[in-house]
Amino acid sequence: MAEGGGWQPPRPCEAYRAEWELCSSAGHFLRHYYVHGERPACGQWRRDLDSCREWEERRSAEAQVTRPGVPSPERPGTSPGARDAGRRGRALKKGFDSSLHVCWGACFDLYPLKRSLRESEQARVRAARKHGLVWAPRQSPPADWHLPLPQDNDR
Amino acid sequence: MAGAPGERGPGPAAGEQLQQQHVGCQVFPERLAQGKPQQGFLSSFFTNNQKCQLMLLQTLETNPYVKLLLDAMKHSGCAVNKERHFSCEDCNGNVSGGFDASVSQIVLCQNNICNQAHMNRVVTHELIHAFDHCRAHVDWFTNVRHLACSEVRAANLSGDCSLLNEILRLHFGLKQHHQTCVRDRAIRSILAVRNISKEVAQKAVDEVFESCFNDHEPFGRIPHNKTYARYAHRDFQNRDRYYSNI
Repeated sequence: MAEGGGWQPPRPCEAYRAEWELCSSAGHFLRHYYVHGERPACGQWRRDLDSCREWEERRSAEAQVTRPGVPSPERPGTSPGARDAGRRGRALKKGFDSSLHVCWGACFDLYPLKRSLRESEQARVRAARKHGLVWAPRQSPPADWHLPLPQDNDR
Repeated sequence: MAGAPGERGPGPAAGEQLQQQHVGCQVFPERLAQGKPQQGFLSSFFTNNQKCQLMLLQTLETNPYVKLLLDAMKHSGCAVNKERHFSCEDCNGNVSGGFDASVSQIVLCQNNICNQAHMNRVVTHELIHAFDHCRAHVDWFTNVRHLACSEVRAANLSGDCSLLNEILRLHFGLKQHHQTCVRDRAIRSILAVRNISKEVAQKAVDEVFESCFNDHEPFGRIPHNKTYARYAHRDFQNRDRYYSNI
């Protein structure tokens, strides 16, 4: 698993949006009822989409604040409060210890989102794997898969 | 193709029955019997074998179900070669195709596959058998439960039992009818390739159904149509990012 600053949502946010929209469609309702005899549950896709979007927004904001050597961008007419925020941003940068993958301040806001998305996807994987297999998995493909056909050998 | 004599020896390990699944092939049997040309450009200028080859190529290059299966098999070490792993042949009876595990080849019944949509579905169905053969020790010839499992998966994931296809077969039902269709078609496919009683086939399907109906590899879901198949392919291509971040 990618740790620290390398973690990202398991799926792009666009994928969560597409899944939620598909799940919420009338066509999917009909197909799901046809297969399972009950209505589909789409709420988790929406929650994951929201978490993903919020994670991206906060990560983007944190990246702007903690960019090394670059002062916080100042928009025209920025109030002194904004300049103070810039100084706090540089203070946040000082609070990030890359060797320990530790950060504080804005970074902590990302952890619940990360945990929510990971737990949601882990639940999906568990649900997919909960039924035992009928056969034993292979460690390598069949030996004859790439061999010529028997009649080809006779030519 | 159960028991069919000829070049192939023991015959396919797994097969797919025609069973009125495509009304287009059944609607004008008199016209076909009298040798009148079928409607469509391909029928006028090409032999059955040529049509089969052309439709197969179209399927392999464009169908999202098949493209995912081909990628998944390549990932498992079973890269598919069109000339080696597919064969267009005339078949006895009303079978659309089969997977011959003894030589790892998919048989396409060129005299029974009547249009591109049918070819798409037959190739998907047989590639699911090939995928199972590639990733697991499937005892096709002596373990009817293994055969039943692959047939359940193929009927479930290939689109064989879509609502539209069932309506076209005049099989009407809604709530959980998909599962009824999967059971029924799996039993028919088993009986097409194995000389066993319907009761034995039904018992095998019942024993493996819960496990195999819920085994959606490599799709990760039941691909109800091409949109679902494209999403499944997207997820497969994204799997490295997915598993490294959960």
